[in-house]
Amino acid sequence: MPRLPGRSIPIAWRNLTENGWRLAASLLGVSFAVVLMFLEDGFRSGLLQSMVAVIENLNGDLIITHKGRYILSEPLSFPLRRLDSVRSVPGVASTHPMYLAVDAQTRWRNPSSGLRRRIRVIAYDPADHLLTLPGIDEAGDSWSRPETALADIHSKRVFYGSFEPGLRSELRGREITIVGTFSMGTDFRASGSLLMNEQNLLRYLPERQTERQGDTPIDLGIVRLEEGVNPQAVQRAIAARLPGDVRILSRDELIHKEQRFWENVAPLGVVFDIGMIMGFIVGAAICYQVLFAEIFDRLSQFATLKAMGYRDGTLLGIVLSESFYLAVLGYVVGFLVSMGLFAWLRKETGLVLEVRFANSVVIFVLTLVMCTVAGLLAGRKLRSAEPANLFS
Amino acid sequence: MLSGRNRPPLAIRNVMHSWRRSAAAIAGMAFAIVMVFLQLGFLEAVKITAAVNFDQLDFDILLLSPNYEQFYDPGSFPRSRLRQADALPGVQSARPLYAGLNLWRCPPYPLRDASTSDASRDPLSINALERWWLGDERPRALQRREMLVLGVDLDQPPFSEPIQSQLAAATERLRLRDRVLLNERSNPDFGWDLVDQFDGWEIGTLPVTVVGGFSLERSFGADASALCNAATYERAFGQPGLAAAAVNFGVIRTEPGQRDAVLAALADTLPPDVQPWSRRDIYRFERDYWVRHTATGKIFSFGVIVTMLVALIVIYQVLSNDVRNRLPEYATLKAMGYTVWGLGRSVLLQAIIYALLAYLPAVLLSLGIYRVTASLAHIPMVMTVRNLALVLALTVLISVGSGYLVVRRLRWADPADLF
Repeated sequence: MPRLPGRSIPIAWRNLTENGWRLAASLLGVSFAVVLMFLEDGFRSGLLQSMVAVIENLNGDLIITHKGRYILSEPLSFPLRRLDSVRSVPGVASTHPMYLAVDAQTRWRNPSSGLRRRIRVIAYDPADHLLTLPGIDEAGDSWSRPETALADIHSKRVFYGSFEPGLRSELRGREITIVGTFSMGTDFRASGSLLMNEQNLLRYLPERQTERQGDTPIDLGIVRLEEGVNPQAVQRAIAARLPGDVRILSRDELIHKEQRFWENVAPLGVVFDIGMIMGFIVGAAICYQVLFAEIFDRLSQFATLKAMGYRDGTLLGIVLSESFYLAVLGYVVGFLVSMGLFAWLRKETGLVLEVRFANSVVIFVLTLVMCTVAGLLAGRKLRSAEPANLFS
Repeated sequence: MLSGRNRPPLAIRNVMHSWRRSAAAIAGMAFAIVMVFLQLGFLEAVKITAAVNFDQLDFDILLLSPNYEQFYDPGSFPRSRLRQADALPGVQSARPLYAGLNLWRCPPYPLRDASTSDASRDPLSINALERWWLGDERPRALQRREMLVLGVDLDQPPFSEPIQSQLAAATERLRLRDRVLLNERSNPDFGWDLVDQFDGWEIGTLPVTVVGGFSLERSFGADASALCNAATYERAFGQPGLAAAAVNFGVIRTEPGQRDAVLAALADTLPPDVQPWSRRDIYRFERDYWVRHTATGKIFSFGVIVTMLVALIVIYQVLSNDVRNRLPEYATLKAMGYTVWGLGRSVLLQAIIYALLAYLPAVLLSLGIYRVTASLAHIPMVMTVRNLALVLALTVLISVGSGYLVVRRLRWADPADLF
């Protein structure tokens, strides 16, 4: 920070903090812009995140899907038999089938309203531990019994009623008992989810029953690898053995593919990018106003400093320091407010909203740039700080 | 008092005198207003797309299953309810509509690469800007994607214009087995542009032939659609006998002026496995669903509130800075005998001038951004009169409110401070 030689008065800091109310008003402005950027970014990554909640929490290394399966929520299954050839590939520890069904017939009867609502059904063998979500391990093997399921606690209550262990209702018109809950979250395609074992899935979705077990249509094949093997090499080896109707991806590849769909093809990315850019511009406008007022009010002091021989550059330095402090303080306040808002919105929308480290760094840099640009623009006013005007 | 102080008023002279400073202030306000417009536009898009399907249906009353959630998950009710409704006095027609989501086999692009399409660039890695630039020409692999499939009884088409005449022109072709019309406005990935060059179309696992097009807006629920007769529909969904047993929508037209009577009669005579809806009620219900029960709707509603708060702060900052700038002049005027209230009026007038000057370019800029967003994101961005009026009222209100707060500062404009 620029200091007067021989003295150590942090001019910029004192200018900024001289009047508490005014500082509060200025910070409010800057931190609102920060909140705006956090919100747009949070919404964007929250929506993208919620679309891949299932894959993110998969306990496996490689995933086999139907080749034409564009996104996970669009149903396209492949025969269970495809997993047979994978099991013998060196480096593969085990393979597990997984089922994901969202269709118009699979409806949960809301016990309080009697209405039947479409619900997503996820299924696998409880012994396989395919999903690591809070609540599933705690439920033990309670859901291995016939006509039982676990329910996502975040499922929309307006649609399904509130899920509690022991709740009995109907799925596709057939009795079902909720024996526990887990915590996952909703997304664009699913307002709620049930988790059940394979036999129950085949019971409730009889169209999946086939004469030979190998023909059973499954949605995902989860491959676990042995310790210490090179995943890419095994992935290539498996791909070489699989017929053309399926493909094998690593978990990250699948997540990436899903998110790119929602970001690029479904137009979500653009909407939030535009919001973010506008947040930045408005933030710069607020910052400019604040700094301009700062300079203007102290024009005579700046003129005095000029008369004492300080150059415009040094004075600009003071303004830029002020903009730096403003950026840092505004960012901190904005960050805290955003955390609070996110927590509230998480409860309201059931979306996975979190402040991510990488994004907070990006937003911090944007805030600095925003305030510095505003400082440079407002700094032009310094040129009008004429010592001669002091006594005009 | 000075004579002629109101010709031209001080406020206008203030704005004109240091026009560059005024321009900066106005630009700041305009950007804040654009933000509000943008979020309102997004929210409006959610509301508009909730209505597009109903806009294309010709009905006074709609029969729906009690399990109806939204257009893309409508539930179904026994087809016999339509015959019962048709028999009621005052009913002109009761026509069935089948609707559901199913997978569509989308052709690759370029077509001749079909065998090696995996070698071409991954279609998902193309971002929105490139998609817009490349349009239909971007490379993509063969894929199956979800679309809305509509099934109708060709002798009782339930649509209004333009689909009604598009359907009428194609009726005889659609009577043949497994023929469909493809929505011309579908996302280009679904292959409307390749309709003459590709013949591997499938809905679900049913091979079909595209015999023409129709036009239906895209929405947040589906970005493509196809239209076929009821027999093809049940084959596509693999449920023989479905069309005769159950329908998703009962599209009812009443004699003029009979709507309310029929609505009451339907509610009385039909069992509770079906519910009659008036046009206004179903629009409201559907809009409510998309705005309040989907993440997109909630996020944009919230965005509107946040940007309004930001606009409030920006406008206050701009106006208070402006007055601060002119404080010595105001002090001089005060010393010359102007009352605080007289000066205050001038500040308020200036606030209104700023508000109006910021509002106009903001509307123009917003219209531009709407167009860009609409073509990048393929959502209908429409400036409604309601939103125009709402934002104008808010801008003026906030400006006057901020102006009032600022006027209180004028009391500090002590002539003694001048020196």
